[in-house]
Amino acid sequence: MTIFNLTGIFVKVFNDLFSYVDINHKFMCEVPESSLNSTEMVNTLVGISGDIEGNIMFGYTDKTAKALAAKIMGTASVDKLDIFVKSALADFYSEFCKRVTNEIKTDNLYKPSNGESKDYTLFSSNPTYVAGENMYGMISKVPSKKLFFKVDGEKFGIAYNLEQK
Amino acid sequence: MENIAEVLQDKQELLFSLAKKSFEEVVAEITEETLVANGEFSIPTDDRLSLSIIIGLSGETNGRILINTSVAYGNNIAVAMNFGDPLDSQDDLFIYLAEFANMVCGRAATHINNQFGKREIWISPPAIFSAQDLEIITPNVSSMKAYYEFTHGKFILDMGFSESSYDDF
Repeated sequence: MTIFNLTGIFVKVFNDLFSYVDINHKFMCEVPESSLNSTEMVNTLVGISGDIEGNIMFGYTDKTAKALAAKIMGTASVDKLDIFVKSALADFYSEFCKRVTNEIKTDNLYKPSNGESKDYTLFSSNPTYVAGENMYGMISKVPSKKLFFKVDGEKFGIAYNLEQK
Repeated sequence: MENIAEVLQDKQELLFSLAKKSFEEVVAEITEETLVANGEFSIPTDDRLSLSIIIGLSGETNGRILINTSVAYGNNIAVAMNFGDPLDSQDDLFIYLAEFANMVCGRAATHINNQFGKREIWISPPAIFSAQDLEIITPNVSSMKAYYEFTHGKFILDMGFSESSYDDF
């Protein structure tokens, strides 16, 4: 059973990181998804393992990818999604997932909601960039949740399924 | 003194050989075929959808395992897992292939952890994608590939190892 507020953690980390890179952003809503997710134009997948396991998938548009990469790389603009851009985006989402796992650890170690502290062992794997036409994806066999945000006027989704072992 | 790069290379080759062994064992159990790695080939995607299964690796060794095939070949494995009966829907295809990937990677994790005598790797649940012109890139990863062609189709087992650490805790 999940004893922490995952939505709150994702929204906090999202706000922290997108404020840091200085891009307009806003949390819109949370929707339950089926296990088969239709994906966005560009996606980044990060696997989580340890005491909690699952996948986190970031789905965003080509325009958001370029705007975000330009901010991370410190350039005025990015014209195409080359390997350097994909690498920069991978580092950004890796940082995102590390912060999420760190928040989960901190919440449960120092501020447990049920009075019992637990020191979670959590790992995040290498981010993988996934793109393609008419793409369908499944990040877990059970229905996952999806959070919708608006980034620079564009749709940005985070689909996740994290289960305690 | 042995070069650190050589030690790392040997370790990655050992991990990859155990992953290949697991893939061959699981496919043999499902299809009753004995698998041997082939020479390099590509899977044409002109008239069929690409399909990839991604499983994250973390712990002492970070990276990912990627199983590349096409929807048609993936369907052959799913049907074999369904005792030869056709699948009801595309959801079934993804669910069977997720289980197939779980079997392969779970067994690989067991072989690897037994070999090292400790919890060397952790695996995350499989994620499956199908698309036209599917593009999957894991930056900062060096990968090793094995190619398998048998009656159920063509499969590429790709194991990538991180060149930098992505786990903090």
